[in-house]
Amino acid sequence: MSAELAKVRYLHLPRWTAAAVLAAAVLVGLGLLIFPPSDAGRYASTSSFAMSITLTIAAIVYGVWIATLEFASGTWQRTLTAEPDRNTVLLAKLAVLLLGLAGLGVVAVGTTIGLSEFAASRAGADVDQGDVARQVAATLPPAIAAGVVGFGFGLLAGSMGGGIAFAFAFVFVLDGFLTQIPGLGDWTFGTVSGDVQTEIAGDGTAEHGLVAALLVTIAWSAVILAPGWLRLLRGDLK
Amino acid sequence: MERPAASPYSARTVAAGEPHPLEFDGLVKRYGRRTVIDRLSFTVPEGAIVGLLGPNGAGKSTAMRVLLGLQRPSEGHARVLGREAGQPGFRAAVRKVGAIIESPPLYKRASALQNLEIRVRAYGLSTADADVRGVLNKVGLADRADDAVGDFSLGMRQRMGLALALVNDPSIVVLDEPTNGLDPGGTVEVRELVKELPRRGATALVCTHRLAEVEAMCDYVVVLAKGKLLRQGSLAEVISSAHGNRLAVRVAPEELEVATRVLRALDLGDVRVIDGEVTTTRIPENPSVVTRALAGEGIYLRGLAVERASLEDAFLEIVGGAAA
Repeated sequence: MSAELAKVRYLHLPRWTAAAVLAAAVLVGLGLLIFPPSDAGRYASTSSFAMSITLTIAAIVYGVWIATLEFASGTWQRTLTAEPDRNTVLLAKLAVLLLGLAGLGVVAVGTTIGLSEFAASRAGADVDQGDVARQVAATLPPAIAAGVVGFGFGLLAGSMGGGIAFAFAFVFVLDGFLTQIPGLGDWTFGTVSGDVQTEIAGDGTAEHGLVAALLVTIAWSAVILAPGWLRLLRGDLK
Repeated sequence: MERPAASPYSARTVAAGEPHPLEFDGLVKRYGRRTVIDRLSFTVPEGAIVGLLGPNGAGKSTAMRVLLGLQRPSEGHARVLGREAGQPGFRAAVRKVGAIIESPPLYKRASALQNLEIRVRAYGLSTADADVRGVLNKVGLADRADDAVGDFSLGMRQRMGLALALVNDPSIVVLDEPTNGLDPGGTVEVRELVKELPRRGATALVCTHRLAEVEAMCDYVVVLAKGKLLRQGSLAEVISSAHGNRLAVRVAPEELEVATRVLRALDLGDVRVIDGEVTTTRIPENPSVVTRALAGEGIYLRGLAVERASLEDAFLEIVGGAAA
Protein backbone atom coordinates (compact mmCIF):
# COMPACT_ATOMS: atom_id res chain seq x y z
CA MET A 1 0.00 0.00 0.00
CA SER A 2 3.00 2.24 0.58
CA ALA A 3 3.75 2.28 -3.17
CA GLU A 4 0.14 3.17 -4.00
CA LEU A 5 0.24 6.03 -1.49
CA ALA A 6 3.48 7.26 -3.09
CA LYS A 7 1.78 7.28 -6.52
CA VAL A 8 -1.05 9.41 -5.14
CA ARG A 9 1.52 11.71 -3.57
CA TYR A 10 3.75 12.11 -6.60
CA LEU A 11 1.43 12.00 -9.60
CA HIS A 12 -0.55 14.97 -10.76
CA LEU A 13 -4.16 13.87 -11.19
CA PRO A 14 -4.99 13.25 -7.52
CA ARG A 15 -3.50 16.61 -6.60
CA TRP A 16 -5.44 18.45 -9.30
CA THR A 17 -8.63 16.62 -8.39
CA ALA A 18 -8.17 17.51 -4.72
CA ALA A 19 -7.38 21.11 -5.66
CA ALA A 20 -10.53 21.29 -7.81
CA VAL A 21 -12.72 19.95 -4.98
CA LEU A 22 -11.25 22.35 -2.44
CA ALA A 23 -11.59 25.21 -4.91
CA ALA A 24 -15.26 24.31 -5.35
CA ALA A 25 -15.70 24.27 -1.57
CA VAL A 26 -14.14 27.73 -1.29
CA LEU A 27 -16.18 29.05 -4.25
CA VAL A 28 -19.44 27.87 -2.67
CA GLY A 29 -18.48 29.61 0.56
CA LEU A 30 -17.54 32.80 -1.31
CA GLY A 31 -20.76 32.63 -3.30
CA LEU A 32 -22.82 32.42 -0.12
CA LEU A 33 -20.78 35.25 1.36
CA ILE A 34 -21.12 37.55 -1.64
CA PHE A 35 -24.70 36.60 -2.57
CA PRO A 36 -26.39 35.70 0.73
CA PRO A 37 -29.64 33.76 0.15
CA SER A 38 -32.84 35.17 1.54
CA ASP A 39 -33.98 31.77 2.82
CA ALA A 40 -31.83 30.55 5.74
CA GLY A 41 -32.39 26.93 4.68
CA ARG A 42 -30.56 27.60 1.42
CA TYR A 43 -27.20 27.78 3.22
CA ALA A 44 -27.38 24.06 3.95
CA SER A 45 -29.04 22.97 0.70
CA THR A 46 -26.77 25.00 -1.57
CA SER A 47 -23.63 23.75 0.19
CA SER A 48 -24.91 20.19 0.21
CA PHE A 49 -25.88 20.23 -3.48
CA ALA A 50 -22.55 21.74 -4.55
CA MET A 51 -20.53 19.27 -2.50
CA SER A 52 -22.63 16.33 -3.66
CA ILE A 53 -21.98 17.06 -7.35
CA THR A 54 -18.34 18.04 -6.88
CA LEU A 55 -17.42 15.11 -4.66
CA THR A 56 -19.25 12.59 -6.85
CA ILE A 57 -17.49 13.75 -10.03
CA ALA A 58 -14.12 13.94 -8.28
CA ALA A 59 -14.60 10.51 -6.73
CA ILE A 60 -15.41 8.95 -10.11
CA VAL A 61 -12.38 10.60 -11.74
CA TYR A 62 -10.11 9.54 -8.89
CA GLY A 63 -11.54 6.01 -8.83
CA VAL A 64 -11.09 5.54 -12.56
CA TRP A 65 -7.59 7.03 -12.41
CA ILE A 66 -6.34 4.75 -9.67
CA ALA A 67 -7.79 1.71 -11.48
CA THR A 68 -6.34 2.60 -14.88
CA LEU A 69 -3.00 4.14 -13.95
CA GLU A 70 -0.96 1.02 -14.70
CA PHE A 71 -2.78 0.46 -18.00
CA ALA A 72 -2.13 4.03 -19.10
CA SER A 73 1.52 4.09 -18.01
CA GLY A 74 2.34 0.54 -19.16
CA THR A 75 3.51 -0.13 -15.61
CA TRP A 76 1.80 -3.42 -14.80
CA GLN A 77 5.16 -5.16 -15.35
CA ARG A 78 6.87 -3.20 -12.57
CA THR A 79 3.87 -3.38 -10.25
CA LEU A 80 3.43 -7.13 -10.66
CA THR A 81 7.10 -8.05 -10.45
CA ALA A 82 7.12 -6.40 -7.02
CA GLU A 83 3.78 -7.90 -5.98
CA PRO A 84 2.55 -10.65 -8.32
CA ASP A 85 -0.63 -11.30 -6.33
CA ARG A 86 -3.13 -9.25 -8.30
CA ASN A 87 -5.72 -9.40 -5.50
CA THR A 88 -3.24 -7.78 -3.14
CA VAL A 89 -2.46 -5.04 -5.66
CA LEU A 90 -6.15 -4.33 -6.27
CA LEU A 91 -6.95 -4.32 -2.55
CA ALA A 92 -4.12 -1.85 -1.94
CA LYS A 93 -5.45 0.40 -4.72
CA LEU A 94 -8.99 0.18 -3.36
CA ALA A 95 -7.80 0.95 0.17
CA VAL A 96 -5.87 4.00 -1.06
CA LEU A 97 -8.95 5.11 -3.01
CA LEU A 98 -11.17 4.88 0.07
CA LEU A 99 -8.59 6.56 2.28
CA GLY A 100 -8.01 9.32 -0.24
CA LEU A 101 -11.71 9.99 -0.76
CA ALA A 102 -12.38 9.96 2.96
CA GLY A 103 -9.48 12.32 3.63
CA LEU A 104 -10.33 14.68 0.80
CA GLY A 105 -14.02 14.50 1.64
CA VAL A 106 -13.48 15.39 5.28
CA VAL A 107 -11.34 18.40 4.36
CA ALA A 108 -13.71 19.57 1.62
CA VAL A 109 -16.84 19.03 3.70
CA GLY A 110 -15.21 20.73 6.70
CA THR A 111 -14.22 23.69 4.55
CA THR A 112 -17.71 23.99 3.09
CA ILE A 113 -19.40 23.75 6.48
CA GLY A 114 -17.03 26.32 7.97
CA LEU A 115 -17.42 28.81 5.11
CA SER A 116 -21.17 28.31 4.90
CA GLU A 117 -21.61 28.98 8.60
CA PHE A 118 -19.28 31.96 8.37
CA ALA A 119 -21.31 33.36 5.46
CA ALA A 120 -24.54 32.83 7.39
CA SER A 121 -23.22 34.57 10.49
CA ARG A 122 -21.94 37.48 8.39
CA ALA A 123 -25.39 37.83 6.83
CA GLY A 124 -27.03 37.53 10.23
CA ALA A 125 -29.06 34.53 9.02
CA ASP A 126 -30.56 32.26 11.61
CA VAL A 127 -29.29 28.84 10.48
CA ASP A 128 -29.18 25.56 12.34
CA GLN A 129 -25.45 24.86 12.32
CA GLY A 130 -25.97 21.18 13.08
CA ASP A 131 -28.29 20.91 10.10
CA VAL A 132 -25.71 22.46 7.76
CA ALA A 133 -23.03 20.11 9.04
CA ARG A 134 -25.25 17.03 8.71
CA GLN A 135 -26.48 17.90 5.22
CA VAL A 136 -23.01 18.63 3.87
CA ALA A 137 -21.34 15.66 5.62
CA ALA A 138 -24.05 13.37 4.27
CA THR A 139 -22.75 13.92 0.74
CA LEU A 140 -19.57 12.01 1.53
CA PRO A 141 -20.74 8.34 1.72
CA PRO A 142 -22.53 8.41 -1.68
CA ALA A 143 -19.44 10.07 -3.18
CA ILE A 144 -17.24 7.28 -1.84
CA ALA A 145 -19.62 4.75 -3.37
CA ALA A 146 -19.37 6.62 -6.68
CA GLY A 147 -15.58 6.39 -6.40
CA VAL A 148 -15.82 2.61 -6.05
CA VAL A 149 -18.13 2.54 -9.07
CA GLY A 150 -15.51 4.53 -11.00
CA PHE A 151 -12.83 2.10 -9.85
CA GLY A 152 -14.93 -0.83 -11.08
CA PHE A 153 -15.62 0.70 -14.47
CA GLY A 154 -11.98 1.74 -14.77
CA LEU A 155 -10.84 -1.84 -14.26
CA LEU A 156 -13.39 -3.04 -16.75
CA ALA A 157 -12.49 -0.51 -19.44
CA GLY A 158 -8.74 -0.53 -18.86
CA SER A 159 -8.53 3.10 -19.91
CA MET A 160 -9.18 6.43 -18.25
CA GLY A 161 -11.49 7.69 -21.02
CA GLY A 162 -13.48 4.46 -21.20
CA GLY A 163 -13.77 4.17 -17.44
CA ILE A 164 -15.00 7.74 -17.02
CA ALA A 165 -17.46 7.38 -19.88
CA PHE A 166 -18.89 4.14 -18.46
CA ALA A 167 -19.04 5.47 -14.89
CA PHE A 168 -20.68 8.79 -15.84
CA ALA A 169 -23.12 7.01 -18.13
CA PHE A 170 -24.07 4.66 -15.32
CA VAL A 171 -24.32 7.18 -12.49
CA PHE A 172 -25.94 10.02 -14.42
CA VAL A 173 -27.94 8.26 -17.17
CA LEU A 174 -28.42 4.51 -16.89
CA ASP A 175 -29.29 4.59 -13.23
CA GLY A 176 -32.19 6.90 -14.08
CA PHE A 177 -33.50 4.41 -16.62
CA LEU A 178 -33.26 1.60 -14.07
CA THR A 179 -35.69 3.45 -11.82
CA GLN A 180 -38.36 2.75 -14.45
CA ILE A 181 -38.03 -1.01 -14.02
CA PRO A 182 -40.79 -2.26 -11.68
CA GLY A 183 -39.34 -3.88 -8.57
CA LEU A 184 -35.83 -2.56 -9.24
CA GLY A 185 -36.80 1.08 -9.39
CA ASP A 186 -36.74 1.56 -5.64
CA TRP A 187 -33.41 -0.14 -5.27
CA THR A 188 -31.22 1.46 -7.94
CA PHE A 189 -27.75 2.67 -7.04
CA GLY A 190 -28.87 6.29 -7.19
CA THR A 191 -31.94 5.67 -5.08
CA VAL A 192 -30.20 3.79 -2.29
CA SER A 193 -27.09 5.97 -2.19
CA GLY A 194 -29.43 8.99 -2.15
CA ASP A 195 -31.26 7.38 0.76
CA VAL A 196 -28.00 7.01 2.64
CA GLN A 197 -27.42 10.73 2.16
CA THR A 198 -30.96 11.62 3.12
CA GLU A 199 -30.89 9.44 6.23
CA ILE A 200 -27.60 10.92 7.44
CA ALA A 201 -28.86 14.42 6.68
CA GLY A 202 -31.92 13.63 8.78
CA ASP A 203 -34.47 14.79 6.20
CA GLY A 204 -36.77 11.89 6.99
CA THR A 205 -37.81 11.51 3.35
CA ALA A 206 -35.80 8.38 2.49
CA GLU A 207 -37.56 5.33 1.06
CA HIS A 208 -35.30 2.93 2.96
CA GLY A 209 -33.68 2.95 6.36
CA LEU A 210 -29.98 3.79 6.69
CA VAL A 211 -28.78 0.22 7.20
CA ALA A 212 -30.76 -1.22 4.28
CA ALA A 213 -29.77 1.63 2.00
CA LEU A 214 -26.13 1.32 3.02
CA LEU A 215 -26.07 -2.44 2.48
CA VAL A 216 -27.67 -2.20 -0.95
CA THR A 217 -25.27 0.62 -1.90
CA ILE A 218 -22.36 -1.64 -0.92
CA ALA A 219 -23.93 -4.49 -2.89
CA TRP A 220 -24.26 -2.29 -5.99
CA SER A 221 -20.63 -1.22 -5.61
CA ALA A 222 -19.55 -4.85 -5.33
CA VAL A 223 -21.60 -5.87 -8.37
CA ILE A 224 -20.04 -3.10 -10.46
CA LEU A 225 -16.58 -3.86 -9.09
CA ALA A 226 -16.67 -7.61 -9.68
CA PRO A 227 -16.45 -7.87 -13.51
CA GLY A 228 -13.44 -5.56 -13.83
CA TRP A 229 -11.73 -7.16 -10.84
CA LEU A 230 -12.21 -10.68 -12.28
CA ARG A 231 -11.11 -9.50 -15.70
CA LEU A 232 -7.89 -8.19 -14.23
CA LEU A 233 -7.28 -11.36 -12.24
CA ARG A 234 -7.69 -13.58 -15.27
CA GLY A 235 -6.54 -11.38 -18.11
CA ASP A 236 -3.23 -10.89 -19.87
CA LEU A 237 -1.40 -7.68 -19.05
CA LYS A 238 1.40 -5.71 -20.65
CA MET B 1 25.76 -34.46 -6.60
CA GLU B 2 25.54 -32.45 -9.78
CA ARG B 3 23.47 -32.94 -12.84
CA PRO B 4 24.11 -31.45 -16.25
CA ALA B 5 22.22 -28.24 -16.86
CA ALA B 6 19.05 -29.01 -18.79
CA SER B 7 20.15 -26.67 -21.49
CA PRO B 8 22.10 -28.57 -24.11
CA TYR B 9 24.26 -25.54 -24.73
CA SER B 10 25.26 -24.95 -21.17
CA ALA B 11 28.68 -26.00 -20.09
CA ARG B 12 27.70 -25.12 -16.55
CA THR B 13 26.25 -27.57 -14.12
CA VAL B 14 23.40 -27.15 -11.71
CA ALA B 15 23.28 -28.82 -8.30
CA ALA B 16 20.69 -31.60 -8.15
CA GLY B 17 17.27 -30.24 -7.25
CA GLU B 18 18.37 -26.65 -7.70
CA PRO B 19 16.14 -24.87 -10.19
CA HIS B 20 17.41 -22.91 -13.16
CA PRO B 21 16.97 -19.15 -12.83
CA LEU B 22 14.67 -19.09 -15.85
CA GLU B 23 13.07 -22.01 -17.61
CA PHE B 24 10.61 -22.46 -20.46
CA ASP B 25 9.14 -25.93 -20.69
CA GLY B 26 6.89 -26.68 -23.65
CA LEU B 27 5.37 -23.21 -23.43
CA VAL B 28 2.48 -22.50 -25.77
CA LYS B 29 0.70 -19.14 -25.93
CA ARG B 30 -2.31 -18.57 -28.14
CA TYR B 31 -4.36 -15.44 -28.73
CA GLY B 32 -7.63 -16.86 -29.97
CA ARG B 33 -6.68 -19.17 -32.81
CA ARG B 34 -3.29 -17.56 -33.39
CA THR B 35 -0.36 -19.35 -31.80
CA VAL B 36 2.36 -16.87 -30.88
CA ILE B 37 4.58 -19.27 -28.92
CA ASP B 38 4.75 -22.87 -29.98
CA ARG B 39 6.23 -25.42 -27.55
CA LEU B 40 9.12 -23.27 -26.47
CA SER B 41 11.66 -25.00 -24.23
CA PHE B 42 14.96 -23.63 -23.05
CA THR B 43 16.68 -22.72 -19.82
CA VAL B 44 18.83 -19.83 -18.76
CA PRO B 45 21.77 -21.12 -16.71
CA GLU B 46 22.80 -19.37 -13.53
CA GLY B 47 25.32 -16.59 -14.05
CA ALA B 48 24.88 -16.59 -17.82
CA ILE B 49 23.90 -13.79 -20.17
CA VAL B 50 21.55 -15.29 -22.72
CA GLY B 51 20.53 -13.39 -25.85
CA LEU B 52 16.99 -14.03 -27.05
CA LEU B 53 16.86 -13.22 -30.75
CA GLY B 54 14.16 -13.26 -33.33
CA PRO B 55 12.49 -11.13 -35.98
CA ASN B 56 9.53 -8.90 -35.10
CA GLY B 57 6.58 -11.00 -33.96
CA ALA B 58 8.76 -13.95 -32.99
CA GLY B 59 7.15 -14.09 -29.54
CA LYS B 60 10.11 -12.85 -27.50
CA SER B 61 8.25 -10.22 -25.47
CA THR B 62 5.27 -12.51 -24.99
CA ALA B 63 7.59 -15.21 -23.63
CA MET B 64 9.03 -12.69 -21.17
CA ARG B 65 5.56 -11.58 -20.08
CA VAL B 66 4.45 -15.16 -19.45
CA LEU B 67 7.64 -15.74 -17.48
CA LEU B 68 6.86 -12.81 -15.17
CA GLY B 69 3.22 -13.80 -14.68
CA LEU B 70 1.79 -10.92 -16.70
CA GLN B 71 0.26 -13.31 -19.18
CA ARG B 72 -0.95 -16.85 -18.68
CA PRO B 73 0.35 -19.76 -20.70
CA SER B 74 -2.08 -21.66 -22.92
CA GLU B 75 -0.04 -24.81 -22.30
CA GLY B 76 3.31 -25.69 -20.79
CA HIS B 77 5.29 -23.80 -18.20
CA ALA B 78 7.50 -20.76 -17.71
CA ARG B 79 9.35 -20.75 -14.41
CA VAL B 80 11.40 -18.30 -12.40
CA LEU B 81 13.70 -20.13 -9.96
CA GLY B 82 11.55 -23.21 -10.46
CA ARG B 83 8.26 -21.47 -9.71
CA GLU B 84 5.55 -20.48 -12.10
CA ALA B 85 2.85 -17.85 -11.70
CA GLY B 86 0.13 -18.92 -9.29
CA GLN B 87 2.36 -21.42 -7.49
CA PRO B 88 3.48 -20.97 -3.89
CA GLY B 89 6.90 -19.35 -3.89
CA PHE B 90 6.38 -17.45 -7.14
CA ARG B 91 6.09 -14.15 -5.30
CA ALA B 92 9.48 -14.58 -3.63
CA ALA B 93 11.01 -15.77 -6.92
CA VAL B 94 9.69 -12.98 -9.14
CA ARG B 95 10.73 -10.32 -6.62
CA LYS B 96 14.32 -11.32 -7.42
CA VAL B 97 13.78 -10.27 -11.03
CA GLY B 98 14.44 -6.83 -12.49
CA ALA B 99 12.78 -6.41 -15.87
CA ILE B 100 12.05 -4.06 -18.72
CA ILE B 101 9.75 -5.45 -21.38
CA GLU B 102 9.36 -3.27 -24.46
CA SER B 103 9.13 0.37 -23.33
CA PRO B 104 10.48 1.31 -19.89
CA PRO B 105 7.61 1.26 -17.36
CA LEU B 106 7.62 4.85 -16.12
CA TYR B 107 5.22 7.21 -14.39
CA LYS B 108 6.00 10.09 -16.70
CA ARG B 109 4.73 12.88 -14.44
CA ALA B 110 6.92 11.73 -11.55
CA SER B 111 10.61 12.54 -11.25
CA ALA B 112 13.35 9.96 -11.65
CA LEU B 113 13.80 9.80 -7.90
CA GLN B 114 10.07 9.53 -7.27
CA ASN B 115 9.79 6.71 -9.83
CA LEU B 116 12.50 4.82 -7.99
CA GLU B 117 10.89 5.54 -4.63
CA ILE B 118 7.58 4.10 -5.82
CA ARG B 119 9.47 1.04 -7.05
CA VAL B 120 11.35 0.39 -3.81
CA ARG B 121 8.22 1.01 -1.72
CA ALA B 122 6.50 -1.70 -3.75
CA TYR B 123 9.14 -4.07 -2.35
CA GLY B 124 8.39 -2.88 1.16
CA LEU B 125 11.69 -0.98 1.31
CA SER B 126 12.43 2.64 1.96
CA THR B 127 14.68 4.85 -0.11
CA ALA B 128 17.19 4.58 2.74
CA ASP B 129 17.30 0.77 2.34
CA ALA B 130 17.81 0.92 -1.41
CA ASP B 131 20.61 3.04 -2.81
CA VAL B 132 18.38 4.93 -5.24
CA ARG B 133 20.84 7.74 -5.88
CA GLY B 134 23.61 5.19 -6.41
CA VAL B 135 21.50 3.43 -9.04
CA LEU B 136 20.76 6.74 -10.77
CA ASN B 137 24.47 7.46 -10.75
CA LYS B 138 25.20 4.05 -12.23
CA VAL B 139 22.90 4.70 -15.19
CA GLY B 140 24.16 8.27 -15.65
CA LEU B 141 21.04 10.12 -14.45
CA ALA B 142 22.26 11.45 -11.10
CA ASP B 143 22.05 15.05 -12.30
CA ARG B 144 18.45 14.58 -13.54
CA ALA B 145 17.15 12.93 -10.35
CA ASP B 146 14.51 15.59 -9.69
CA ASP B 147 13.30 16.05 -13.28
CA ALA B 148 10.05 14.53 -14.52
CA VAL B 149 10.86 11.46 -16.61
CA GLY B 150 8.23 12.53 -19.15
CA ASP B 151 10.69 15.22 -20.24
CA PHE B 152 13.51 12.69 -20.75
CA SER B 153 14.80 11.75 -24.19
CA LEU B 154 14.29 8.19 -25.47
CA GLY B 155 17.78 7.21 -24.39
CA MET B 156 17.35 8.71 -20.93
CA ARG B 157 14.07 6.87 -20.49
CA GLN B 158 15.89 3.70 -21.40
CA ARG B 159 18.49 4.43 -18.74
CA MET B 160 15.68 5.10 -16.28
CA GLY B 161 14.13 1.74 -17.16
CA LEU B 162 17.45 0.10 -16.38
CA ALA B 163 17.61 1.92 -13.06
CA LEU B 164 14.15 0.55 -12.21
CA ALA B 165 15.24 -2.94 -13.21
CA LEU B 166 18.37 -2.77 -11.06
CA VAL B 167 17.15 -0.87 -7.98
CA ASN B 168 16.03 -3.99 -6.10
CA ASP B 169 19.49 -5.55 -6.64
CA PRO B 170 17.98 -8.44 -8.62
CA SER B 171 19.61 -11.82 -9.06
CA ILE B 172 17.86 -12.21 -12.43
CA VAL B 173 17.58 -9.44 -15.00
CA VAL B 174 15.22 -9.63 -17.97
CA LEU B 175 15.80 -6.86 -20.50
CA ASP B 176 13.92 -6.24 -23.71
CA GLU B 177 15.89 -4.00 -26.08
CA PRO B 178 17.99 -2.42 -23.30
CA THR B 179 20.03 -0.26 -25.70
CA ASN B 180 17.05 1.03 -27.68
CA GLY B 181 17.44 4.76 -28.31
CA LEU B 182 20.85 5.03 -26.68
CA ASP B 183 23.73 6.89 -28.27
CA PRO B 184 26.98 4.95 -28.87
CA GLY B 185 28.39 6.02 -25.51
CA GLY B 186 25.22 4.99 -23.71
CA THR B 187 25.19 1.69 -25.55
CA VAL B 188 28.69 0.90 -24.32
CA GLU B 189 27.72 1.88 -20.75
CA VAL B 190 24.66 -0.36 -20.79
CA ARG B 191 26.68 -3.18 -22.29
CA GLU B 192 29.19 -2.88 -19.47
CA LEU B 193 26.39 -2.81 -16.89
CA VAL B 194 24.94 -6.02 -18.32
CA LYS B 195 28.34 -7.71 -18.58
CA GLU B 196 28.95 -6.85 -14.93
CA LEU B 197 25.84 -8.79 -13.82
CA PRO B 198 27.39 -12.30 -13.79
CA ARG B 199 30.34 -10.94 -11.80
CA ARG B 200 27.96 -10.21 -8.94
CA GLY B 201 26.20 -13.55 -9.36
CA ALA B 202 23.25 -12.35 -11.42
CA THR B 203 21.78 -13.97 -14.51
CA ALA B 204 20.48 -12.07 -17.53
CA LEU B 205 18.08 -12.73 -20.38
CA VAL B 206 18.52 -10.02 -22.99
CA CYS B 207 16.27 -9.57 -25.96
CA THR B 208 17.59 -7.28 -28.67
CA HIS B 209 17.71 -6.73 -32.39
CA ARG B 210 21.22 -5.35 -32.15
CA LEU B 211 23.20 -8.44 -33.01
CA ALA B 212 26.53 -6.70 -32.46
CA GLU B 213 25.40 -6.10 -28.88
CA VAL B 214 24.58 -9.76 -28.45
CA GLU B 215 28.03 -10.71 -29.75
CA ALA B 216 29.58 -8.29 -27.28
CA MET B 217 27.48 -9.24 -24.25
CA CYS B 218 26.04 -12.72 -24.39
CA ASP B 219 27.41 -16.16 -23.61
CA TYR B 220 24.50 -18.04 -25.15
CA VAL B 221 22.00 -17.39 -27.87
CA VAL B 222 18.44 -18.58 -28.40
CA VAL B 223 16.82 -17.87 -31.77
CA LEU B 224 13.05 -17.78 -32.16
CA ALA B 225 10.85 -17.16 -35.17
CA LYS B 226 7.07 -17.37 -35.35
CA GLY B 227 7.03 -18.55 -31.74
CA LYS B 228 9.24 -21.55 -32.40
CA LEU B 229 12.71 -22.26 -31.11
CA LEU B 230 15.01 -22.46 -34.11
CA ARG B 231 18.45 -22.67 -32.57
CA GLN B 232 20.11 -22.47 -29.19
CA GLY B 233 23.71 -22.77 -28.26
CA SER B 234 26.77 -20.95 -27.11
CA LEU B 235 27.52 -17.86 -29.12
CA ALA B 236 30.48 -19.62 -30.76
CA GLU B 237 28.38 -22.68 -31.62
CA VAL B 238 25.63 -20.66 -33.23
CA ILE B 239 28.05 -18.55 -35.25
CA SER B 240 30.12 -21.54 -36.30
CA SER B 241 26.99 -23.25 -37.60
CA ALA B 242 26.61 -20.55 -40.26
CA HIS B 243 27.82 -20.77 -43.81
CA GLY B 244 30.60 -18.29 -44.40
CA ASN B 245 32.82 -19.86 -41.78
CA ARG B 246 35.90 -21.03 -43.58
CA LEU B 247 39.24 -22.42 -42.50
CA ALA B 248 41.83 -22.55 -45.28
CA VAL B 249 45.03 -24.53 -44.77
CA ARG B 250 47.97 -24.21 -47.16
CA VAL B 251 50.38 -27.14 -47.28
CA ALA B 252 52.82 -28.51 -49.81
CA PRO B 253 51.02 -29.85 -52.93
CA GLU B 254 52.17 -33.43 -52.29
CA GLU B 255 50.67 -33.26 -48.78
CA LEU B 256 47.18 -32.10 -49.81
CA GLU B 257 45.69 -35.60 -49.81
CA VAL B 258 46.94 -36.49 -46.32
CA ALA B 259 45.98 -33.05 -44.96
CA THR B 260 42.44 -33.48 -46.33
CA ARG B 261 42.14 -36.86 -44.60
CA VAL B 262 43.38 -35.38 -41.28
CA LEU B 263 40.95 -32.45 -41.38
CA ARG B 264 38.02 -34.72 -42.28
CA ALA B 265 38.81 -36.71 -39.17
CA LEU B 266 38.43 -33.52 -37.09
CA ASP B 267 34.75 -33.12 -38.02
CA LEU B 268 35.11 -29.70 -39.57
CA GLY B 269 32.17 -29.87 -41.91
CA ASP B 270 32.67 -30.05 -45.62
CA VAL B 271 36.41 -30.48 -46.30
CA ARG B 272 37.71 -30.05 -49.87
CA VAL B 273 40.68 -28.82 -51.86
CA ILE B 274 40.14 -25.48 -53.57
CA ASP B 275 42.88 -23.59 -55.40
CA GLY B 276 45.65 -25.59 -53.77
CA GLU B 277 44.27 -25.11 -50.23
CA VAL B 278 42.36 -27.49 -47.98
CA THR B 279 39.22 -25.66 -46.85
CA THR B 280 36.67 -26.56 -44.20
CA THR B 281 33.19 -25.12 -43.55
CA ARG B 282 33.51 -25.32 -39.76
CA ILE B 283 36.10 -23.67 -37.58
CA PRO B 284 37.23 -25.43 -34.41
CA GLU B 285 36.92 -23.40 -31.19
CA ASN B 286 40.70 -23.49 -31.00
CA PRO B 287 42.37 -23.60 -34.45
CA SER B 288 45.55 -24.96 -32.89
CA VAL B 289 43.96 -28.42 -32.94
CA VAL B 290 44.41 -28.30 -36.73
CA THR B 291 48.09 -27.41 -36.41
CA ARG B 292 48.68 -30.19 -33.92
CA ALA B 293 46.78 -32.81 -35.92
CA LEU B 294 48.70 -32.01 -39.10
CA ALA B 295 52.01 -31.93 -37.22
CA GLY B 296 51.15 -35.40 -35.92
CA GLU B 297 51.21 -36.59 -39.55
CA GLY B 298 54.46 -34.76 -40.17
CA ILE B 299 52.78 -31.98 -42.13
CA TYR B 300 53.81 -28.43 -41.46
CA LEU B 301 51.64 -25.49 -42.45
CA ARG B 302 52.59 -22.98 -45.04
CA GLY B 303 49.61 -20.87 -44.12
CA LEU B 304 46.30 -20.91 -42.19
CA ALA B 305 43.45 -18.47 -42.71
CA VAL B 306 40.25 -18.22 -40.71
CA GLU B 307 37.17 -16.45 -42.09
CA ARG B 308 34.45 -16.21 -39.49
CA ALA B 309 30.80 -15.59 -40.17
CA SER B 310 29.15 -12.99 -37.96
CA LEU B 311 26.15 -13.55 -35.69
CA GLU B 312 24.20 -11.57 -38.27
CA ASP B 313 25.14 -14.12 -40.96
CA ALA B 314 24.11 -16.97 -38.67
CA PHE B 315 20.86 -15.25 -37.59
CA LEU B 316 19.76 -14.45 -41.14
CA GLU B 317 20.59 -17.97 -42.22
CA ILE B 318 18.68 -19.58 -39.34
CA VAL B 319 15.64 -17.34 -39.67
CA GLY B 320 15.74 -17.35 -43.46
CA GLY B 321 15.98 -21.14 -43.49
CA ALA B 322 12.94 -21.41 -41.23
CA ALA B 323 10.95 -19.03 -43.45
CA ALA B 324 11.81 -21.09 -46.52
